Amino acid sequence: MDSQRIVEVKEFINNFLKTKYSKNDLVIDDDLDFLSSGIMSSLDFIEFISGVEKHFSIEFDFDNADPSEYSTILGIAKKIKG
Amino acid sequence: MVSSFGLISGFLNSFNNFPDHPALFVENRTYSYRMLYRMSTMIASTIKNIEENSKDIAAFLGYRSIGAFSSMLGILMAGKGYVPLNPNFPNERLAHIIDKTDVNVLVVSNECIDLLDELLSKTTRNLKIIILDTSNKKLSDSFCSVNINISDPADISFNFIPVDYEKIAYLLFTSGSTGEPKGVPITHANAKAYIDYTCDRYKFNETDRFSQTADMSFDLSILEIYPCFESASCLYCLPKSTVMLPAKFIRENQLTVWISVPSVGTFMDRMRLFKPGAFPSLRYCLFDGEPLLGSIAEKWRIAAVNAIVENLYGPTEATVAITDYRWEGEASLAQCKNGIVPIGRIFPEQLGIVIDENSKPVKAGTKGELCLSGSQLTKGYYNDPEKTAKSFIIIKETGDRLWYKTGDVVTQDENGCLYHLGRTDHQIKILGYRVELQEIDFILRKCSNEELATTIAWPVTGTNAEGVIAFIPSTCKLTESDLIEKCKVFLPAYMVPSQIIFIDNMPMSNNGKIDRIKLKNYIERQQNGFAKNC
Repeated sequence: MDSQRIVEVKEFINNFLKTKYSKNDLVIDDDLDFLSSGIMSSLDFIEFISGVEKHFSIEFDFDNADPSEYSTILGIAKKIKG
Repeated sequence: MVSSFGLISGFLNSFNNFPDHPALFVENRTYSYRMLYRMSTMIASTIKNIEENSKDIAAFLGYRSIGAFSSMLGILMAGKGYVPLNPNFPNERLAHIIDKTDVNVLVVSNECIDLLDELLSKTTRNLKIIILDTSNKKLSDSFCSVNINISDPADISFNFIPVDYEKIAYLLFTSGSTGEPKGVPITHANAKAYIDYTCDRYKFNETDRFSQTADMSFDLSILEIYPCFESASCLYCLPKSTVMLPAKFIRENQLTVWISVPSVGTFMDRMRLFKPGAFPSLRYCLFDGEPLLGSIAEKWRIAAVNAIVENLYGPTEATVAITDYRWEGEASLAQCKNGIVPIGRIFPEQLGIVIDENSKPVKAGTKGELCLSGSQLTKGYYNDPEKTAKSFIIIKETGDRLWYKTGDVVTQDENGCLYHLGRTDHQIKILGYRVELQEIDFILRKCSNEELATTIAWPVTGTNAEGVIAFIPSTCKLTESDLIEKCKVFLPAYMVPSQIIFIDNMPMSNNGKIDRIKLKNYIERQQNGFAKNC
């Protein structure tokens, strides 16, 4: 796994959550699921994914993937790497 | 032909005719009608055995799992109505529901066992608990436990007793403006009237595959579950995270009937999932729960090229839906008002009338409040004559018939087609859930100790909102995150404010009310300023 990419994704998520919820002290493990853990609502998730796409200039393929494939730091890093 | 068991009759018929046909796909497993029947009868039989004083209703705690489905069916098989308790809601709210209702049995699905101690500590009712152990671990010594082998459930004999159709089939709680959820009891007669109409209209059959996206505490689940079981079709329960972007699930499972709140379409659109012909397996796409945008209906039509797309409307009090509108592409786009799809015509066997503020019927084309009557209508709120008297009225011109005032502002054209224009009160919809802003205000005032605490739905499209923003006088001693955490104790996630704005002087209108328009302008200014800074 590209560790630099993981760091970038993590930084992006932390900034997103900080702006959205004023949560400065949130620690997110690489494999923590944002959806099932309740950190993000469906709406937050869509907003977040749109933000990731814009930031990394990429379009994710949800035609052939479930949202759960994108709901951890590791999952997203893997998709961006691909 | 089984017909005297109310809401469960259709399931029992399908079990008799197609016992080995798949009935339910949930948590990556498929269950046949026979398996689901066996699991449910085990629960029904346990309820009968442990209950000393028989009550008309029983509650279950479970979340779209095999345990939740078999609990729901088991309660109906025991001849009772069910009260679904959504484990995603705060325990305070669930305990309040239990205390308000006359239940003495609670069936708990094994995914919810960890919540039980806290829930029981908050309720004043003495409950008989049935733990549904589908994991085959010994889960609890203190409660009655039903061990179910989900791969091969035991076959027990069970005596069904015909139900009284005027008794409750299910009891759901919706947001109430006084800070307390309101109980809406739906009888077997109400539910059967709705399901019979629906099955007759769409002619579902045993080859259909239905989506299941709604929580069981939300009445959209009735449309998904019972017409499916009545038609011997298979119900595909989508994992929670898949509901918002279901393209892969629809294709992989070759779904033929898609049912959801319209917001799902908005999410799918944002992620580019509406490609022409993307969902050829779908025969029907049915939407209910909140206003449907014409642009989204058209995208569904183009993606689900073989499907009939319909917009349904109905408050919980009228059993899921009481009007329908079939989307016809270009012609329908021209019929939208403010970009919103018409809610269509009242079902042939049901009644609707539009009245003015003096409760007088209005002419076609005039704005007014929609009132409903007929066999799908509940007779009133559960143990709440005061709220019932407020919402159920007699309209002189129609004799002594009782009408339910929906609070929805509509117009009706010469052909009987209804157009939803807004609300008479502060009710909004968030992800299909009814939300009374006064209920959030009530909790917010309680948590902040600030009498002027107020919420604004934001951003809003028609009567749909993405969430709520709260305004609190800056004298409040709590921080934003403290207040949000406190609200979470009492309110389900979709009602918890996403942002709290502390304000020095709450704007007031001339008649002494909080000036909500000024608060909305404040949010707009703040967001524009934020956008510029970005």
